[in-house]
Amino acid sequence: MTPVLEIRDLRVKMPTPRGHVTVVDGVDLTAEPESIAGIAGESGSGKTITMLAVLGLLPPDAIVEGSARLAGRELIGLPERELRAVRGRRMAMIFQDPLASLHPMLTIGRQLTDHMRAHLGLGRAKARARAVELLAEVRLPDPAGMLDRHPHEFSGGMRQRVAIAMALACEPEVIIGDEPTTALDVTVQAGILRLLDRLRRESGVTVVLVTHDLGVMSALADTLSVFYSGRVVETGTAGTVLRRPRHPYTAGLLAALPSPEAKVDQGVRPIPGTPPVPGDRPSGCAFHPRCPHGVDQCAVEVPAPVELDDRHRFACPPDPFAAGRTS
Amino acid sequence: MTNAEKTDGRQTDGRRRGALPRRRRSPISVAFVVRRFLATVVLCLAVTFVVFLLSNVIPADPASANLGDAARSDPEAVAAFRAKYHLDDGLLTQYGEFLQRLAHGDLGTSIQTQQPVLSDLADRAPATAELAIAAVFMAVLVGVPLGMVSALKRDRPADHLLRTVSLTGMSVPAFWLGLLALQLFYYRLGWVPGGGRLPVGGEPPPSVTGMYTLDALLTGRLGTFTDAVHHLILPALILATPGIALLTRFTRAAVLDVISEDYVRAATAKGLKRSTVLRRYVLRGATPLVITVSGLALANVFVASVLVEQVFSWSGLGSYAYQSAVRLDFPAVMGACLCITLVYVTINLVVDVLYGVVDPRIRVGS
Amino acid sequence: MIGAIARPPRVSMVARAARGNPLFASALTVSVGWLVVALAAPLIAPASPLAQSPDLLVGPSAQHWFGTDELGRDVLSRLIWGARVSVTIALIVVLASSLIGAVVGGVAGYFGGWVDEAMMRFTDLVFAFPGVILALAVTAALGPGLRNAVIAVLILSWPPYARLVRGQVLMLRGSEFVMMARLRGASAPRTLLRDIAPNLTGPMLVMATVDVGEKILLVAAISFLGLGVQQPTADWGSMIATGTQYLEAWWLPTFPGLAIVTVVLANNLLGDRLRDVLDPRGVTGDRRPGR
Repeated sequence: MTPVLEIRDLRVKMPTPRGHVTVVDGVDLTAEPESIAGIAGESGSGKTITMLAVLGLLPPDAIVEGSARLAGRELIGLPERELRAVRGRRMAMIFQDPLASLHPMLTIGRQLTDHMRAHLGLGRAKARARAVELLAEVRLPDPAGMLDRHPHEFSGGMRQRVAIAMALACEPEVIIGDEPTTALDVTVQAGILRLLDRLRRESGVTVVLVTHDLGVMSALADTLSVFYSGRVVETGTAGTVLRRPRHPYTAGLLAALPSPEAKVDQGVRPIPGTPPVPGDRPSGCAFHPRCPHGVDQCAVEVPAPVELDDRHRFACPPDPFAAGRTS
Repeated sequence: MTNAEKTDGRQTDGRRRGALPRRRRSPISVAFVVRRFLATVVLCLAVTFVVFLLSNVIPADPASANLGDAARSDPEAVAAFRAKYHLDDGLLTQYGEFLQRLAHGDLGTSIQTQQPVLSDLADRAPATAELAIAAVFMAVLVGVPLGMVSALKRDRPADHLLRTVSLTGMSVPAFWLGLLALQLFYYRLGWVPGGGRLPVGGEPPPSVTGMYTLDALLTGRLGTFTDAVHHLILPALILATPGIALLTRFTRAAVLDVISEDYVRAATAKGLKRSTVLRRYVLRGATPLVITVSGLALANVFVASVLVEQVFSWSGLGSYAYQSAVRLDFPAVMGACLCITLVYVTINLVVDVLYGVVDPRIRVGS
Repeated sequence: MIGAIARPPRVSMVARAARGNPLFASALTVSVGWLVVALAAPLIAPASPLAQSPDLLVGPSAQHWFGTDELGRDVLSRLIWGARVSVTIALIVVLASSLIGAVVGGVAGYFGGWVDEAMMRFTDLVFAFPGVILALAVTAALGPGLRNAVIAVLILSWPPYARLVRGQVLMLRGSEFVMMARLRGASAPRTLLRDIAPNLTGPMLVMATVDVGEKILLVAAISFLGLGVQQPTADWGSMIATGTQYLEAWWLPTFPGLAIVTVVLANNLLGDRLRDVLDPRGVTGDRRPGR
């Protein structure tokens, strides 16, 4: 199967007062059609920046190198006018905080229809009719009545459904969900995730789901990529990665998870230390100062990815300790 | 509550989570308007109290302060004045009397014009209104686009230039700038008239609103209209200068604020044109602050008219206040001050209410 | 932000603000320059500000750099002496109103409750008055003159300081390090002064810097209206006022006006930059539009 979205060796340098700092350092990612591709990692690990870079949404003074192909078509370096035809039309994005990502002073109808009219050339009446359909599709009550109301009149979960409807409007091939449930109440989160899962199955859209919630990943994601300090340290099918993590960081994340499935005597073991700040990344493997299995070599060179089969890859050197590591 | 505070307050208010969906939509919360209105009433009362204190209590002898030179030396006139205004009663009684006179529109008689102060003010208010409205119009028309440019060209040469120029604009006394402009454009170059609202001997249009430009248009006197506009341009521009600077500065800040909002990024992610995003999302988001600052600029223009009208012999409230102050025409000064302050306070109220109309989040009230 | 401790401003911080920022450096030079001019007026001025000569309304020349006025007085000398009046009044007003504001805001913030409510409502009330107008009314009631003009300006100038101080006191009152001080047995007012005051000096300095310029503008406006400094004392505002009567003598209003613009602009620039360095949290806010 040809991937819908294929990112190869993506590098992003962001401007800071002290010069450009590499925040994404050679990221590879693949999303198969009609799948949910999960991306996990702590905040600041470059997940969101990667997604913004793909859509060309970073500030103009950010430096983006590498490749990101949407159905075979290169997006990096595309002129603004052509990128515009991709954004919202072929690849849409859902942001973390639905209240902040909806304009407080424009009606829901206006925000749902303006890109449909721009991309699909729909007239006002047709766009509104489609907007009502969309709101019904994301299971919002009284869709017709919502159009002339403002975002603040709705709850967080409802707003996020509106944002999802906006993302669906032009029937894109890929929807990027950037922590779409993080800002929501726990009780609402499940509903939103179920909605995304249903849409993937019904409308055949590919979802790139960024979240630091590994529980969500195990329930929904088909594949999983784990970010650490601007690099993908482990990637594979969600089941494999979560059940048999090969990278010590992934293993650490899972051990730090208060999970009912975990062995009782094991308890919760937080990863010691703090994640590095971009611009002050440790040499070699960025995880080595916190790694329980580190060898001298780790501080010197960035480990090359090890490929177990064509789905499971991780960036940790196969050293003598490796065998005993992943019991 | 000041407008500045509200600008902050709106953020937290708007970001309340889990607000109940509301079915009924009212254009603006009644409670909000009532609250603001009551605050304004209290403020107006405070204004009258201050004016009362200043005119009836603080002067060593209110009688002589309120009477002209001639009457001051006449003991009978002084006694009559004291009796008329119950100067020997208690303070609160006196204030009650003062308010009652105010309610009947009695602001005393101007020593200069020998007219009731109220009718003097009514004569002159339209002139100031005309000047102030023209000035704010110019300020918005020039300041808002400049502020947008400054924000969009952030930290580039154009931005640095505009920031320096606007800061300079805020540092220049308008009355001085007016004087220099008059010297240059009237005295040296002869491009504009030397002051006044119409050429000497020019006949004012029939009074509808009292604003010459508007009246001339309404009654179809194009010649008079051209004359009136010709006289209006320079003073309005001078009066607009601080407003232009203010609006440039605050529009820049507002646009920069809005442009980093998630909803602007979200709009871009939808594939909208940059110009659409700027017009529909950024400018719309900046509107409440721009309206607030425009309103404040209007209020400030009324206040600054005291200084600028005199320079241009513009016979409005400002030059009335100035001339009364210079000639120590006490009732007239107090009347003019009361009038201008009330206008100032009222404009602030209107701005607050408008703010609520523009920003739907305020309608929720609290 | 609870427990956040802003370091009191140091000379080194101002120096850092100046380095690599020629605009700041020149603004500082201009501002300090006017202070020096004000202090050294008798030494610098080429003539007495009151000395009349038969050269009435003569334009700038080698003898009178900035020309003479309608009584033949040297405009440059009057300008230099005028700096004394403007700068002194502005400094006095700013110092006094920041003291009043600090006391009002400190008391309101520290005691809270109805004391706070009452005091801050009153502050809002004063804040809502238009400056020039109240000054006009007050000086008209008390009689024109420098002293009364200063009183009028003082009545209006303290509320921003009160708000600033109250906000900071409220924020710091509940913070850990003030709690610690009180646990150590320090008395309440002592704690306020010792621990809260250093946090305030930065924002206060920023506000005062800009305010000096504002007050120079306001005093000039009052004098322009003939309600402040009285003839024959040299003052920038009244010098400009004279210019309204002699349109042919462009030098009469031009130079005192430029003096006002330079000192006000310099202080605005200083304030802007100092805000970045001394008040990174932005507690002084941007200036309230037009006062």
